[in-house]
Amino acid sequence: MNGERVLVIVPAFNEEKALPGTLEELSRVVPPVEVLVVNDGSTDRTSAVARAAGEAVLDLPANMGIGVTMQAGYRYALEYGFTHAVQCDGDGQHRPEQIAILLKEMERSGADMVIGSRFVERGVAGFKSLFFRRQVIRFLSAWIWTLTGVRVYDVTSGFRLCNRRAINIFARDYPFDYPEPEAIVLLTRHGCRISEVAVSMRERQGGISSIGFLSGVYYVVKVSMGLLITKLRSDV
Amino acid sequence: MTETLRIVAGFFAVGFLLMIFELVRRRRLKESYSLTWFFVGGSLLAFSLFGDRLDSLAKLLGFAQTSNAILVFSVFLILVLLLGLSVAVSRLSELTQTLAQEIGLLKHRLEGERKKGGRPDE
Repeated sequence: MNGERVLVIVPAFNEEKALPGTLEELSRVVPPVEVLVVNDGSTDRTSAVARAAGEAVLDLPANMGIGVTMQAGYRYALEYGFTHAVQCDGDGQHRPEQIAILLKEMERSGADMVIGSRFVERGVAGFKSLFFRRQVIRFLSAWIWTLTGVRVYDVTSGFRLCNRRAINIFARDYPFDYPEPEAIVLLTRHGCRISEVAVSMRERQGGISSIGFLSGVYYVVKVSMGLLITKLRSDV
Repeated sequence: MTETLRIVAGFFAVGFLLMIFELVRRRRLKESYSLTWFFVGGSLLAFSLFGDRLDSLAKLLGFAQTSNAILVFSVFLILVLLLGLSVAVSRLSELTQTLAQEIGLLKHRLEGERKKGGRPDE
C-alpha cells in the first residue's frame, strides 16, 4: 500500500441521523482512509454533523442529485491527488469495514473499478431486496452485458472503488440521474476493466426507498435508454 | 382568408413583433434567442399579408383550406422551437451543475485557508 491514498466519498442528503454512525465506522477502517462528505444541499444539520466529526465537507449550494454530488467528490479526489476513491452512502446501507474487501479485489484483479455486489455469491448477501427490484436489476444487468459484453450482476450498487484512471474519467464525465449503471458502460467505453466482489449490505437506517411501480417503470425505461446512448456516444 | 381575418392577423403579428422588440430592448430576452422569435413574428405577418397567394400552394399539397396549411406549418415550427428550448435548458443545467461543484470545492478550499490563519476573516 505504498503511496496509496484512499478517499471515501460520502454523498449525503438530509442524513443527520445516520451520518454520525457511518463516519464513526469509517474512522476505524483499516487501512486508514480519508473521508469527504459531499452535502447535497441538505436542509437539516448534515453539514454540521460531518464537521463536528472532523471530516472534510463539500457543501453544494442546492440539491443537485446524486450524480452531481458524486462527481463533485471525484473532482475533489482528482484535485487533491488521491489514488483511489470509494463511494460509501451515508445512510448506513454500505459497511465501511468492507472497504478492505474492495481494495483487496482491486489489487487481485487489476480492475479500474470494483463494485461491491449483493448478488455475486449466494448466501453472502445479508440484504434481501424486493422481488420487483431484483428483476429490474437482472434486466439491466443483461442489457449492460448485451451492450458491452461485461457481466456485472449488481449494477445498481453504489458501493464501489475507483482507481486513479476511473477517477479521472468520472471527474470529467459522470451520468446525472440514476448514475450507477450508466457509469459502468461509461468506463467500458474508455476501455476500463470492471470487477465485482461479494459484500453484504444493511437495510437503510433512515429514509425509505420510494421507488413505486410507476416510477419503477420510468426508471427502467430511462436507464435502459441512457445505457444505450452512453454506449453510442463517440466523444471519448 | 377573408379580408377581416387578414387584418386581425396582421395586427396580432405587428403586436407580437413589437413585444419581442421591447423584451430585447429591456434585456429581458437575449438577442440570440430573439432572432428565432423575430422570424416567427415575421412569418405571421407575411401570412396575414400574402395569405391568399398561398392558396394554390396549399391546394397543391392537398390541403382543403389554406388556413390548415398555415396551422400545420405553425405547429411544426413550434415543435422545433420547443426542442430548441429543451436544448438550451439542458445546456443551462449542465452549466449549473458544474458551477455548483466548483462553488463547493472553492468554499472548502477557502475554509482550509482560513483555518491555517493565513488571512483574517473578510
